[in-house]
Amino acid sequence: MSETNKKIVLVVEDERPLLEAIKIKLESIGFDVVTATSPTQGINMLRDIPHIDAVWLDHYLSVSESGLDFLTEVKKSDIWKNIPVFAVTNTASADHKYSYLELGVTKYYVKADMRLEDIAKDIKEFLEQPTQ
Amino acid sequence: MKPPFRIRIGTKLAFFLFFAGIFPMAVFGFLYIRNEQEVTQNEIFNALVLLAESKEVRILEYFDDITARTVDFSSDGYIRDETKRLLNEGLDESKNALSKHLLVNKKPIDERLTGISILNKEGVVIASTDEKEIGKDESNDIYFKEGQTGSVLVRTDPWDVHFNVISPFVVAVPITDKDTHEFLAVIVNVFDPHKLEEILSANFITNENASLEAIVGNDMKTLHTYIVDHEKNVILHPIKKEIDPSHDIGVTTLPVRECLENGKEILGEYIDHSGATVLGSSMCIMEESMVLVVDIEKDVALLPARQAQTKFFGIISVLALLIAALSYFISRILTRPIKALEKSVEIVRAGNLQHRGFVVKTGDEIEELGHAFNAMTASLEERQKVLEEEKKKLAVLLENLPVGVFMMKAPEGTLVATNPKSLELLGQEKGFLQKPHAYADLQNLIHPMKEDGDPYPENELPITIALREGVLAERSDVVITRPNGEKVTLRVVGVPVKDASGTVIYGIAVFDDVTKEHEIDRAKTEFVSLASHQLRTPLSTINWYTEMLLAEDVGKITPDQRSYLDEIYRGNQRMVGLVNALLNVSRIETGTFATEIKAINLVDEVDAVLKESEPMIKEKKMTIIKECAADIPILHVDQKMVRIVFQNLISNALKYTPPEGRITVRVRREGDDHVYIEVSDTGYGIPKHQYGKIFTKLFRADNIVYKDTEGTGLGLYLVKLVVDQLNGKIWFFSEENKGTSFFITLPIS
Repeated sequence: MSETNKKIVLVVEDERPLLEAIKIKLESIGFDVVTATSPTQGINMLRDIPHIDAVWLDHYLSVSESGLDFLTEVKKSDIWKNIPVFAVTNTASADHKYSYLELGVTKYYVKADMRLEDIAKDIKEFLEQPTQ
Repeated sequence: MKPPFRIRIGTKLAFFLFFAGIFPMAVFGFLYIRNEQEVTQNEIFNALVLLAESKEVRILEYFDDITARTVDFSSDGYIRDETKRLLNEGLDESKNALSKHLLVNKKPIDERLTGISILNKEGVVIASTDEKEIGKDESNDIYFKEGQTGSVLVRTDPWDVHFNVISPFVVAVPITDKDTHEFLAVIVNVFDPHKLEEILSANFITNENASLEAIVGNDMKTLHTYIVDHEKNVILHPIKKEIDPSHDIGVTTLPVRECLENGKEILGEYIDHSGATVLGSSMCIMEESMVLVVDIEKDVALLPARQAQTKFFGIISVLALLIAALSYFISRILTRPIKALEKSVEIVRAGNLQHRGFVVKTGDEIEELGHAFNAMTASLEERQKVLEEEKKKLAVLLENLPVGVFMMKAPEGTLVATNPKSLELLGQEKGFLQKPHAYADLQNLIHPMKEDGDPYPENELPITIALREGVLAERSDVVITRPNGEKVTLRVVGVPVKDASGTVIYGIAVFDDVTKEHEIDRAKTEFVSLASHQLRTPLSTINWYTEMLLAEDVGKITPDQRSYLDEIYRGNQRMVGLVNALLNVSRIETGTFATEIKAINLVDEVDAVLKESEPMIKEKKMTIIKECAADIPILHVDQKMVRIVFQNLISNALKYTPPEGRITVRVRREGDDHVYIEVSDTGYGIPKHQYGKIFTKLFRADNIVYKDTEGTGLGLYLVKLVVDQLNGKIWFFSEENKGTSFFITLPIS
């Protein structure tokens, strides 16, 4: 019962150690976590696993692909476009930040400046809001 | 260049002098001649009147004289007696005696007499000085008819001949009986008219004649004195005129008509019976119904005046010629230096600025003009030299400029000058821009585009802005396609060139290939972006795993483990700070710092930084004094930049001040357009000898480099970069071991 009540977060992050840490942290505060290391994989996850409640999205995912590609796909879809996306990246350039905000991310974080716990708590708080 | 019609100054001057000389002379001459003619005419009239009057007097005297003579004869006792006897007795003896008496005793008395006759009551000659006369019947003659009742003087008809005298004067007087006064006969004295003609003619000299001669000269041929009787026949004349006195020519000229019809004497000009225009005077001899006329042909009379006139005109003409010659020479003398100057002007105008005019030493304005002209030419030559040099310098400069230059004439934008680099940049052959291109043609040839391939809007091109709005404009995103298909990004600067009145006369487009720079810029941005990712990712890993260990997410840790993990965590945090600082430096230096202008309240930023620093403030037991004025304006700047300033200054103050020190932050308005920021501490201060290096990259002062190992030497460098970026000023005041104050002013707008 408790398993089904847990919210599911899709973490898209290519850096495995970070992905692992994020997974541990999110699970420790009560999320179910699914992971992907590329935009394609992320989209597949969205397709395969219904009811994903939120997405943790990194920017640099490989040499040729970025979180923007994934986000563009998500926002195109009527089913997925309302899923809150939290962009967590180390690329603090304003261009990137605007691109994400324009495409409709919920929040935008610079990894190195943030404690993992703070981001996790932000996501949790956001999802527990009554409107959600 | 010469005007179609012009009058040389010499000609003008000559004409002016000529007319100035001749005009008064002409006016004076005209008036003089007119006056002279009038005077002469008047004098002639006066002389004519006098002449006429004197002749009249003499004629009347003559008439009276011959009448008196005849009357005298009629009262001769012998004649009376012998006539009575002859009439009564009819004896030849008496006839002969009487005739003899007349011839011998009477006729010689008067030399004017040519004959004497005595007519009986029937008009028949009964006695005469000439026998042939005796017996003639003269009863029809007017002198017989009138002579019966009183003395009468007549000029006989032109065809009458008495005593071999043609048309003589005849005076007839009645002879009466001495006692009874009974009419007996008529004595007729015949006088030779030539005697009267002598009187009328100029054969005798009068004062009047002399004065007339003085006027009209010796030629008195046309002076006529003649008498016309009531039948308008000339009865006496001075022969000189070609009028045949034996013919009745019926003179009806003006003086004759005036006298005979109106009884008026005239003095004036008229046409005489021969058709000549004459000046004449008339006298009416009323008793005898005769007109005495004295006239002279006008042309002849006025000839001396005319001659004087002609002479005068001759003199005037000679004078005019003299004046003309004089004027010509004067004007030549005056205009020669001007002509010389004109020649010089022509030479200089033709481009020979080295030429100097020869200045004629006239000592007047013309000489001054000559000197001024030479001075002007010298100054022009000097200027031309300077201009040539400038031109050469500019040409060399333009030729070798490493940027493309187009110079266009305002307002239509016709291309007037280019340089080789411009052709190279456009990938065009020489000659492409040699003929002047209109602005529109040029655009069609070059096809400026935006980076996305759209045509560049004409009114956004810098050269358009410079030409039309007269302001400098710069764009770095003008893409053109070379003929070989290569696309080049140009940075174009449009500069207006204005004349003194501020009107745009030229537009200069300076352009350069910035394709590489654009690529480098992109590469730089890419690098910073990648570097920030690549450097931060491992740091994030360390961060988050240490964080989780410390949070005991994966099991309890011992106090020693915690203290070690804290060290790792802090060390990593410093590393993150260092990477952030380095990235900021790199962004600002490379110009890739993405600014995001927002309305910033400086006090909020100070508060935020102080809050971040709270752990350290508490740890070092620092006193913080915050003095922020109430009227600090909102700044429109990038928030990250303001943060960098406060974070670094406040963290430096905290780091380099011993515990329990004091830090003061002041923010206030400075004047109308600046804000003033001050961060002071009571710390170690900066060594004097290192003041100059304080804002250099990676510099750390001697006195703190051992006290604090965490400093990067980037903080103040970054602050300086940011303040410069915000067009502000930064300076400081420091004393070692007493403290340091940093001051910043930032423009409000």
